[in-house]
Amino acid sequence: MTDEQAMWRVQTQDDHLAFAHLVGRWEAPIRRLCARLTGDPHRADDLKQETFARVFEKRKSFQPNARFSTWLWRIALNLCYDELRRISRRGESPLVADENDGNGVGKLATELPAPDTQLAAREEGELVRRALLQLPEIYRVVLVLRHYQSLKLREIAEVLEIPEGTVNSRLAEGLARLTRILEPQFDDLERGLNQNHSSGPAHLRRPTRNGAAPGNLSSPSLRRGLQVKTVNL
Amino acid sequence: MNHPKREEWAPYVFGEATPDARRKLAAHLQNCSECAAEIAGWQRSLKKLDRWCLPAPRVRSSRGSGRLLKWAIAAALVWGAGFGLGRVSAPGTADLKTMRAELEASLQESLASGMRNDMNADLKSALAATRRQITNELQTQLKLALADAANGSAAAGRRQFNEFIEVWNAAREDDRRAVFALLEKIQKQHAADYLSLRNDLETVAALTDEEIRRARQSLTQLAANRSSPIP
Repeated sequence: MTDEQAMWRVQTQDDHLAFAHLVGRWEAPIRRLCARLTGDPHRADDLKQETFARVFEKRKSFQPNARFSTWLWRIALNLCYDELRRISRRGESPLVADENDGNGVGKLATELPAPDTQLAAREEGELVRRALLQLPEIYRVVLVLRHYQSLKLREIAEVLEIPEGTVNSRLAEGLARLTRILEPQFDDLERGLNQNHSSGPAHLRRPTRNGAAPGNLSSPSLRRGLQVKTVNL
Repeated sequence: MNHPKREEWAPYVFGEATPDARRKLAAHLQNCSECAAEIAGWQRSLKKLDRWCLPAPRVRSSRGSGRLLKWAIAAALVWGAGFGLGRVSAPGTADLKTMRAELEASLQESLASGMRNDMNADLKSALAATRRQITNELQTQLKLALADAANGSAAAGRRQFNEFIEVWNAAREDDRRAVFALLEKIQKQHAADYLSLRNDLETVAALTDEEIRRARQSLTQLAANRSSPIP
């Protein structure tokens, strides 16, 4: 059953099985989209629920000749925009990462990389998250749809209802701004890591799984490297 | 040097440029260090985007959280027992470190294997339940669909048969009327033909009688003429 067929059943017969099929197929992509756009994975869970509630609520307005995915992306994007505006109005900061976020959640202790490797990966991820949140929405949304959701440029243009040329220019500008933010931060991070690797007695440096010797990540030099710089955009 | 427009680079970087555009842009990159540096920076940024991994979705199942709580309580109890033992036996610093390392290792191992078994059992039972549920739902749907189809086809068949009978009866009535009209017409024709034939026969009979009478008269006259002498 295609998405459009399932949606037709939901629309005409309130078919709960067809709706469950759609939710099962799309809940993970929608959650990822909301998390990347708002920078908050837990808020994304709520936004995902709200998106599917909105889909059911607006089922009668779905055009039978339209693509379900395009319609669904639009609903989710609009909810994300509303949420970002609410955050901005309330003066909340979405720039707070959950300590438990990252690669290791849900895995067994024996499957995880060494703690220092985990910490470095989490800090790199946090830099990227913050950098994306610094981008204006129009650039962030095209980057997220293309890179994380793997939509084609033509599909992005269709979802956002803008010409494909505009998508291209926004992607180019977004990448240029992102590069200006990330390059110096990652350079600082690497410098911090190298300094820590080269300092301290060798017998205290336990090799990690990928062969690199870890450093003391809580040292002041590394912390300096991890400080997020706000770039004028 | 003429640099390509900035938006031309987006399809190139994301692998969606046409073959011609790709060749043209790749050739430009070989000759223009400025553009090459910028595009390399973009490509590095795209790789960096993959460093941000999302956590697993929240587990809403009370059963799952119950399991986690159970393991957390077990870990706390074991840790508490270890701590109490340590306080009672009061070993030296070196012994304490060794004991702690051993306790950590043993706890990690036992918790990991226990949790793994538990999660496997949960996963298997959840899969079996889902499979049963889906099978039941599919069977129910199939039965309903078949029943609907059977009912629908029988009713439609009856309706079509009745329509056919009506049409057939109407056609038969028309045919009957046409045959009656034709028979009547033939009967009238026969009656007209009979009258005409009778008139003709009566005429022929009258003429024949007249001719016979004339012939007899002629014969009588002839006989009379033969019997009288010739002067």
